[in-house]
Amino acid sequence: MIVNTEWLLDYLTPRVPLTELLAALPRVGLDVEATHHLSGTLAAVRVGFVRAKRPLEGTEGRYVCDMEVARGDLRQIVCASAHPVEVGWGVPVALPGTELPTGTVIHEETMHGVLSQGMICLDGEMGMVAKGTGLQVFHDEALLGRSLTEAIAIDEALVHVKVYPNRPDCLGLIGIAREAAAMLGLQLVLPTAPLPPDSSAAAVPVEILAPSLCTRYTCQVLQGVRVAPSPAWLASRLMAVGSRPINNVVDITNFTMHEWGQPLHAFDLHRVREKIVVRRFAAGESLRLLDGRTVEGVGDDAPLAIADAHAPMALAGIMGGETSGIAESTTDVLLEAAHFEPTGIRMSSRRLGVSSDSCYRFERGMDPNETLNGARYRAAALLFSVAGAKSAGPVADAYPTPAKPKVFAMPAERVSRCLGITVQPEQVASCLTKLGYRCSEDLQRVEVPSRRVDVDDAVVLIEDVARVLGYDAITPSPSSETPTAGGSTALDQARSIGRRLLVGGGFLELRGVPLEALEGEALYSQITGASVTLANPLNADLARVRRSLVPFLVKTAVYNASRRSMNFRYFEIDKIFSRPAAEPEEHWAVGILLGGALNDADWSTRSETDFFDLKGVVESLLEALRAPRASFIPVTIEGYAPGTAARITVGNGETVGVLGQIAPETLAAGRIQQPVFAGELFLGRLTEGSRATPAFAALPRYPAVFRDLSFVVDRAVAYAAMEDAIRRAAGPQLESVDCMDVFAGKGIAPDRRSVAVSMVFRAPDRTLASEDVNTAVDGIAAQLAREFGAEVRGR
Amino acid sequence: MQSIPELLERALAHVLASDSLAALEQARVQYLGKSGELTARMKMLASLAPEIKKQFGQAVNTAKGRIEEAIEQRKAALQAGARPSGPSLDITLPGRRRLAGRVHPMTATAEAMKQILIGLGFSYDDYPDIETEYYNFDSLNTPAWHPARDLHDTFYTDGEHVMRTHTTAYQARVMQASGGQVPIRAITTGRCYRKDDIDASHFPIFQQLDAFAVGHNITMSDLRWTLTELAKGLFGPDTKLRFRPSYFPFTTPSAEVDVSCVVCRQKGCALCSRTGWLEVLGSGMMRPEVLRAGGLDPERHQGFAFGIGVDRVTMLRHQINDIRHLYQNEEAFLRQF
Repeated sequence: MIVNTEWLLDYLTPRVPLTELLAALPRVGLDVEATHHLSGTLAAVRVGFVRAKRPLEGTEGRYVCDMEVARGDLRQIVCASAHPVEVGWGVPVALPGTELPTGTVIHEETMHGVLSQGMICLDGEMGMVAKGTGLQVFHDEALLGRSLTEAIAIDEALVHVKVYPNRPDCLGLIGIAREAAAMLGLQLVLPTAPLPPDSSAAAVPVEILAPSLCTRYTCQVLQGVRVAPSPAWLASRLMAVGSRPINNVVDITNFTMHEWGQPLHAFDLHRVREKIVVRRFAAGESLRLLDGRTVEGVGDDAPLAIADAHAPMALAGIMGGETSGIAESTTDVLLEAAHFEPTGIRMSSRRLGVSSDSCYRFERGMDPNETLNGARYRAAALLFSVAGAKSAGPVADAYPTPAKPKVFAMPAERVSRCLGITVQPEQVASCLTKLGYRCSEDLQRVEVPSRRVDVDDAVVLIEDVARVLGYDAITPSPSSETPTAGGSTALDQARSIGRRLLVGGGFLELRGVPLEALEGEALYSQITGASVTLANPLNADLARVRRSLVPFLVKTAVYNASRRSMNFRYFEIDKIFSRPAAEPEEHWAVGILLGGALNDADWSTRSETDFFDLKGVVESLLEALRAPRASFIPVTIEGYAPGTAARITVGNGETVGVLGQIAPETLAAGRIQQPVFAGELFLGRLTEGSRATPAFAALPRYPAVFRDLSFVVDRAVAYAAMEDAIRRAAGPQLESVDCMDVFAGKGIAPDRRSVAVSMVFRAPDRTLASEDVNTAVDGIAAQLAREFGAEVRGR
Repeated sequence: MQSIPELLERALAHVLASDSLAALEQARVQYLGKSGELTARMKMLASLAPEIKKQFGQAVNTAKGRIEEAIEQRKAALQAGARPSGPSLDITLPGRRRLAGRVHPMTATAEAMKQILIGLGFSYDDYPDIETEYYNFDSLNTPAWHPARDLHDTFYTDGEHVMRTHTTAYQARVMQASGGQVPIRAITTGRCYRKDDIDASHFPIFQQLDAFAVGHNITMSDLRWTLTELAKGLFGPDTKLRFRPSYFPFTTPSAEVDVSCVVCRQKGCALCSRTGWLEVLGSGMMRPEVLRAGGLDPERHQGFAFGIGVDRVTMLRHQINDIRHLYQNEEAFLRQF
């Protein structure tokens, strides 16, 4: 909603400086999105003089003016506005490129074949409330080419405020003024609305057939209206707040809505047959709306119509019908001021996809009492003073169940207890009274004004007291509540452990996008279940919730490769998603990607990363998380190069991750020629060890014995199987076994390879004798010979 | 046969223990002499299979080098006239290294806030990204058809769920799990999803950090204290706070919270649009409806809640001018933090 401060000040006394008024708006709770001080934004508008004017061919009432906008600088400007200009007048001119406070940007344009090089600006077009006739006219030639802000003093601002959904009472200037008055200690001044003279015109009878949707319906006949353009003061105000003037009658209803917040509707009385019936659209009925769309009645919850004795005339509270509205020929008006239930309006609006300023207000909730009355009085009075109405009929008022005032108790202790500061009963009473509440002496009965539809609980009263006191009154102080020890979870610990280890290893943490395109569902993915997809995605690239972290890692590698960063060490810790059954499942994972040179700075021994570099990182991570010993089982996974992918299992065979080499063809498409490796660990399954408090194990007191052995075996024999056999054969004194070399080639049969291991033996209770170890080594050699046909070398 | 490392260890100890030049010579002969222990292994090399020859040979050579070096050093020490010469080393050549790893600035920001709040007695946990409408909206006093639902443009999944539009969705879950035990002080952080078009300050995915405290005596003054501590911890001890009335369906009174500009210290700059203040979070006292949804009694219990945009705070902390940098992950960006 746009607020012109000069207009707002009409409702406040005494007058306050602009800065004070602007400072009050956030205290009210309005979200001030932008404030345009007209004195600043209008500096670009200058005074130009009309040197000649001639009618614009093919139009009525439009002129082409030769405007002198600076000494000797003549521009041709089409004057398209309703206001006349005369030769010799100095007027505000906006040249191409100027942005007016209302948001309009001036361009050169051709109208009816004539180039127009700017715009002559009415007050309203510049966001100003009209001064005089609505067009600033100067006769002092010394002002030629000067800025408008030098020619006149402008002390107005246009404020763009967002009114939160809970405060529809602030969707009118009087509502905002009422709040500002409370904050600034000012008096609210309501517009005087002299009662129109009585008329003999009969009231149009009103029937409400859907009382659950329409709380109150009032209407009044006004006769003798002359439909014409609005006077300058009225038109300029509407223009200033971004509403286009149409004709005096429609403008009066719009003006009144902006002033009071209450939407009104004007019917041409001669289109209303017999009576007003507020009912739902009947099946088969249809109505063409003002915007050209057609509403049809279907089913039980058809939208609400304002009908006459025969047919719907308007979509209640949302939009008028095409034929029942005000026309140039209209002389008698039926002025509607009604109250509709928010939910009904909202559902109709949603279902039909039709909205309007009126709908926006009704669906948030309007005041069925004073505001409705005030707005109708005001509009009727304006129809007399502005639109020439001669007489008014009695008001027809259908209000089957008048709204009962809401009442709450709000003792000062309650306010103090919530805010945590001491608030006296007098302060509570004073704050609430300023906002229009009626308070009993003991504050046990606080009656809520009916415009405050948001007050559905006593807590709102506490907020209102706090707002009037000012939130600065709430001073910070720590709780008197029982303290609690803060803490975190095992999963959180596991994430920290993983992050620390990887960052320490030179990895960059990425922040991925958890939504991805639908194709490539199986890519890198190892979780079971269908994908979770969005029913209403923003676009096709963000349609599925991701089921692996690897695609984004790969995408990032491709992105950075295009910027010549070719050493990839990336990780991300986030969730992956699937839907194995009805309920979606979320798993925490750490994704790792590695490729390029092993070191970033290396002038001597450049080496490239390979599979075992990544596997080493994964093993370190498992070790840091104190995971049980892992097995790596060959698998085939889409996206990983054949023969490189492995499933990682621990303990009872539970899968805790995958790793492999990214298929080279995927990378080639992203112009990466070097091998790249990636993997994913499911952190959620690895949290157990991260919280453990390890128990001390006595340090070894006796020396270890070291033995190196080399076996020649068939190439098909996996190292893991050999190590497993060594462990089984060695007995309890084998402390560790590590692979130290693998060799194939000269001196070894082509289908065999040599695998050298180094072993450490130790006993907890004595120094091992050479013979003890020799026996163990013999056993190992025999076991490997038996299982794999291994021959032992180097003993 | 004793392994090479063991032999090396023994030899080095022997050298170090030699207290005369004669003893030292004796040690040399024992290991490196014609029939010395290491020399014996070297002789063995010729008979080894090529595949271990290389590795074994290397180990023997390294050991030999180290023993010789140790003998030289010991000799110098024994002669009591240390010669300062050593192998020539150009120490100005760059080290062989990896560039340091980095934590993403959003993680760093969220962790910083988390640690401050854990220190203030809050417990951290994670909650689902894919939420029910009940927890995301209804439990937070935002029933269907409520105009406040318009404030969040929601992604719906193919099932009965929504992508959470705010981490605030965790509130009823936490209270229900507590079984009515108060005080509760809970925090969470995570991804949130809103159907926003992408521009310099909007991204359809963002991160929030939410906190709430509920008990018998938890007040708005308390909220202000907690937020002051958080802001000081995050932005520095001089940071000031400003509360403005606002609206959230799940809090009343509600307050939008501004902090004094982190760049200009309220002198006026482009970041704060010359106002001296930056909007950072929404907060308020929990609505009775929300407490009831969590199984608590609004007559006896009250509490505060707040939610912070981690993306926004990260951008403010580091003066990042475009939210898309946070998700682009360009190395030149990541290495700055």
